[in-house]
Amino acid sequence: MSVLSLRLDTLPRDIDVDDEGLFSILSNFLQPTSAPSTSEAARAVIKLGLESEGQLSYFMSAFFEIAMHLARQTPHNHPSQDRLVDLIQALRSTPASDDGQSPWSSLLLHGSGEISEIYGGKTLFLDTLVNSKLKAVPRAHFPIRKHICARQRCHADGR
Amino acid sequence: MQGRDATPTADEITGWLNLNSFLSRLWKSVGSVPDPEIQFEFYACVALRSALEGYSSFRGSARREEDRKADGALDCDVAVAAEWIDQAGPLIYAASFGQDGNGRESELVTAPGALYHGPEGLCGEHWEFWKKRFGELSTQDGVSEKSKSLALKAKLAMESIE
Repeated sequence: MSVLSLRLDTLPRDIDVDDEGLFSILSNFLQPTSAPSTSEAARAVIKLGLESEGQLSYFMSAFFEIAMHLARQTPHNHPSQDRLVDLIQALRSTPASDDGQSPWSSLLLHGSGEISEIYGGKTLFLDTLVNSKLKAVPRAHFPIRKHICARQRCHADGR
Repeated sequence: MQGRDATPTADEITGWLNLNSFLSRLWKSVGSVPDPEIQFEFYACVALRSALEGYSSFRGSARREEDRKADGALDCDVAVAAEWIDQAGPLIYAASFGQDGNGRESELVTAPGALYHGPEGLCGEHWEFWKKRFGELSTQDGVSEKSKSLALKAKLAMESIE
């Protein structure tokens, strides 16, 4: 297993959380040698989320954005691709601290917006990438954005 | 990123394959749940369509197959589509045919590629068309040997899943 060369400074935009802290946890976890366990990495992410000043939902979106940024840098046939998935599953299954449901169980919901951004407005498949080169693309061309936003509103409303 | 019509860099192409590998692996791990929150079916459908249908860009016109071969777009798209089959093929098949054999209606649809004239979304017609197209690409002139190999592997995997 080759050591991964991971970078945070190529992230397309600044995010208003401790992105360097998240990057440190994730980049250490994804290295094939001397890496923390999945549960240790999950605990570190959750701890950082608790220490974050903003809403946890925003932190989870930021986590997913950085996770996908690192997934881009991880070869498709590298074992760390599955390690990243394992970490997300570990976070989703985090036990609740009280009688309610753990907020981390909705991690995929908060990640869905980040994915739709990539597929719908920034980096499409190669043919579109050739044409658009990350230029702003009219949102009307991408019905998924509207759909995802509607889904998130429904979840936020408890529907 | 440079100009609007600049060719994607090698890093961009590699990153796109890697990211799709991550999403397809995530779907494989999450499984086919009623409300997965992430529309994995849509992303799989778009990946397969892009590689196999002469995908229509947002400008509304499909690029010529010869251009796609020449600038590496087809190689990238075939690799991405094959990755979705490799990681999540059984889920794609299940969503295409469904328990009642009629397929699961996709909530998200976009314009089909130029070569495909069947129903939208994941469905039996799409599955059969994509399998046929993987087979065609595996022997087609002008397709790289790597893409031919990936296309054949994907076709055989689809047959195995059935």
